[in-house]
Amino acid sequence: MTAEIFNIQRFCLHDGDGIRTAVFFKGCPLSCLWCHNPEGQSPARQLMYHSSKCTGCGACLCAARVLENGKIRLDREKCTLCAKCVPACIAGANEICGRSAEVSEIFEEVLKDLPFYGEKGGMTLSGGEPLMQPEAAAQLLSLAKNAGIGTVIETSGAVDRSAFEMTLEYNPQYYYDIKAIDPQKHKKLCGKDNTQILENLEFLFSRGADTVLRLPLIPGLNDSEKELEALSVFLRENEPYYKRAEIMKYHSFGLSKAAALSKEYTAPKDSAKACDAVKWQNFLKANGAEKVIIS
Amino acid sequence: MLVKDVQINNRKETDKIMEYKYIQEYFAEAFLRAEKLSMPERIAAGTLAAAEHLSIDFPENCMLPTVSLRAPMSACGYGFGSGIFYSQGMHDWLVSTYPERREEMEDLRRRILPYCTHTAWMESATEEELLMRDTYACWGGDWGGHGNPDYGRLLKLGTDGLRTLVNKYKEVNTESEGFYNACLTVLDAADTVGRRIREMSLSFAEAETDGERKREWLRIAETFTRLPREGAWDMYSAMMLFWMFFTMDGNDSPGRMDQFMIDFYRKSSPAQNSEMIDRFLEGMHNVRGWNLCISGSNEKGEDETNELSYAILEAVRNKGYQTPNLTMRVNPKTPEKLWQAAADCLATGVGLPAIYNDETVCPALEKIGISHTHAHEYCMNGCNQIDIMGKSHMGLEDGEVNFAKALELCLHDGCDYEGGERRRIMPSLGKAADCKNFSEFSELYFKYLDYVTDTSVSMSNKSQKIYAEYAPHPMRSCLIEGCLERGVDYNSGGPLYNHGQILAEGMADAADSLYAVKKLVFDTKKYSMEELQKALAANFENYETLWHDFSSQDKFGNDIPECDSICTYICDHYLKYLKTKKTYRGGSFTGGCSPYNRAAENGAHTGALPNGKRRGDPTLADSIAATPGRDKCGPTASLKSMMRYDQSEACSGFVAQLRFDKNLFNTEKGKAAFITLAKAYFAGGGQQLSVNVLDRETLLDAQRNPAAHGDLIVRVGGYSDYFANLTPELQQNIIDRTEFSV
Repeated sequence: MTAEIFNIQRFCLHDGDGIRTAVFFKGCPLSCLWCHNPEGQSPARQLMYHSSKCTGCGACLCAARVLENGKIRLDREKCTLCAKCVPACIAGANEICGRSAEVSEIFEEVLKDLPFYGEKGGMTLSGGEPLMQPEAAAQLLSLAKNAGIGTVIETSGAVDRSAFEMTLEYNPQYYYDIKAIDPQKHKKLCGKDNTQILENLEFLFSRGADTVLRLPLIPGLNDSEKELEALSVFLRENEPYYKRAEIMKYHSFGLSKAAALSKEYTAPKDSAKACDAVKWQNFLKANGAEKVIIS
Repeated sequence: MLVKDVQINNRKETDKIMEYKYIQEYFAEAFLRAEKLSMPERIAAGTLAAAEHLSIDFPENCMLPTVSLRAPMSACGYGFGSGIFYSQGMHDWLVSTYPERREEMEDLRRRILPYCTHTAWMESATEEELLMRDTYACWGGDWGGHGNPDYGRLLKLGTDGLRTLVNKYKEVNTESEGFYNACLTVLDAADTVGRRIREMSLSFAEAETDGERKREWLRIAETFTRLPREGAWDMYSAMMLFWMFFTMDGNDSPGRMDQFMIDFYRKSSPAQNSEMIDRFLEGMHNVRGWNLCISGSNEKGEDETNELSYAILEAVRNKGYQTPNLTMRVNPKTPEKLWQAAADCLATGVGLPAIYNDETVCPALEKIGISHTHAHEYCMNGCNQIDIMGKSHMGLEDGEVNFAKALELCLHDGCDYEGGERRRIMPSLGKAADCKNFSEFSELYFKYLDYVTDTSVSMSNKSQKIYAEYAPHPMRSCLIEGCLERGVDYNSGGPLYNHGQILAEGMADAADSLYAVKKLVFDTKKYSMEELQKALAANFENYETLWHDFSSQDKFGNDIPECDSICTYICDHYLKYLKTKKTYRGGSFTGGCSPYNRAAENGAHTGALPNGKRRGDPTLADSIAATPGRDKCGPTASLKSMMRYDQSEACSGFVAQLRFDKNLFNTEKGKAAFITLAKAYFAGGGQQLSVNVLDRETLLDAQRNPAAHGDLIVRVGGYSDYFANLTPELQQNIIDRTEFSV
């Protein structure tokens, strides 16, 4: 069995406890404005062109590429993803994002850091949306469980119920995003409303799954008092069912990657603009959501 | 004028000097006068004569009696690292200041120089050896080596107790009378210094107007009515006695202080304890003392961490000084609390402590014949060399071999291209172009590497013989087990263990080069050996495609077994080969890895290499790790590669470094990750870990505005230093080295 992935990253410290290896699955049902991994959205392979690395030497020119003001203008319609431009560029400006990998090959990579996982660390399935490829995800979880490696799934929840049914038996920890409570707002920000997401979450709760909620805080997009109030009600009402809720401070690392994909990026471009996580946390706590921490 | 020039800190001392009508070479004259006696007795006679005149300083910040190795206004003295030395700078100043003494001084210099170890060593070295040293293929000897005297013995016995011990063995080993007499004489010299400390303190007290300082002078004077003849009785007297001897010994390394001081610590008040630790660290900062060791396990595997281990660690953290190097020994039973305290200390960016794994170090020591119990008494000295406290002369260190340069010599038939021109450095041992396969080529490399190693061994052994003959060290002999017992000097094989350590430089560069040659010359046959040789001779100029092909091959440090195995293969060969060589002192040679500060010099003198290194590029491997910037898969992959070495073959420091971004390390997650990494590395056979906590922006800024970052400390291999003190090349290397972040 194969999985479409775009990266395997060792020594991850922020996607679960301890030292972890994260497998990034390609393809996501959502298209959040602030997405920090925009290369994970499309399930298809994509060419990334990093113009800042480009020296304008022209070694990569082809039918899809024109040299303009010392940089490449790319006609993505004409690009056949032949990948010849990748080795042609000594500066490393061209990259093909996404590949098919055997589950066993992925797991071999995960096993490399086995000495460092200890009791807390392990494997994190991330993306994109790992549960869009539930069979591959389940296989990896099964392999990890047999090897005694702890697992985390980072999910948007916007997937078919069966994906959760298939993965629950391996007891992974679910890192589950709550991006907005209001369905219309969610649709505006993420391209899809949150009915399915909240239903799936309720299902996980009902099954007693080990769940950590994640609350991405995007200044100006989802941090109004009204939204925070709705969020606090939700968190308070479901408090017995999740382990903790982590406020994720916004950063704009996705910006340059979006540019490399010729994608628009409409979230705030300046991540230095303070996102006041402490204020958020205080507000949510004051409204009875006790398990909120800042990630 | 005079006062300023010779930098005498104590006015009373200066006044005394002014009374001397003429300059005096107390050590040299007494040494030369005693020509009928044995060499240890002559050194001791010089030491005793100088003891009456050595400058004794009480720096403001520590008020510890700090003894210098040479009397002020003398050019000649004696030290553990140099034997008898003669300062040409001081000589020049003296003859220009006192022209009427020129003839006498020159006569003295003429008579003493033949006894200077450096002179003798230069005479003994061959032209080829000197050429190999000057071209950075290797060096050996011409340095006495660090040692860790048993200060526990000193604090327990005092000089009177030591005298009793000397006399006891003197009766047994009657043939070593001269040696024992020398030991007794240096103990008298110590008593002389002790008496002068008391007299000086009393006179300072008299002149002192500040009440608190006056009390302190009187306290020192009072303490030295009993010291150094009696052993110590509390933390205050223990530190005073230790310090006097430590500085008389030349400010080397205290060793396992938390073990030999703990009884005094427990007997004293918390106020006295913290005061003395504070003064000790201030003093160490003044004299740039070397290596201080805490914690460790004993022969039963029991952890020996105590209250003093924590107190020292906390004081080092609060002080933030980069000297001494602090070493922390760990084992599976090391308390979690100590790990946490170490992480908190590292988080400040001080680069300390360096952490050593007993589970790898002790077996490595046992393999060369050190007893199980004694192996557990190891401590560190110098940058990162392993010593057995109070029991050994391990030659820290005896020499160094540049693996990268050896490969350059192998590729060019014994010649190098350091200056751009072909130059013969050593005889041809076979031609790279004649090798039919990779196995033949790697065998040829070993021939060259062994030859370079032999040269280092030869230079070192000549030096060891010279130190045995010209530089006996009765003071250390009193404090290193075996010497008094056998009646044999510290430099002549007296200690229980007399091994030697020759360090390796540029291992990953040589390994990556061999791997690239394997792939492109022998496996795919994309290039011929001749083409490669031409490209290297031309420093890759007009060979850009070839350079790109060679430099983009896989590198050590990325957890790629095929690639890593070449590095571990050559390292293993080297370590095992060294063990077949005997030291003049009477042990076997062993190997380890150089601290990072040497890489830049060695790299600058190594020509173009098949890993893509260009001539003049000072970058060489970061001790046992990858060549800076070549490990691209993060710290776990980097450590996995290093875990592939058989580190239990290495008896000198096998330095692995991690550099953390400050923002990362300074979180609970960051510190926990570090502890997890360290424990996993050690469980996998790792020997040592050191950590730099810094941010790249800070370093870049420090490079641009050194004045604004005068206090930025980085760990440079075995030691930490101010970033601003480093050469531009070394600064760049530190910036280039992978900085792990998330």
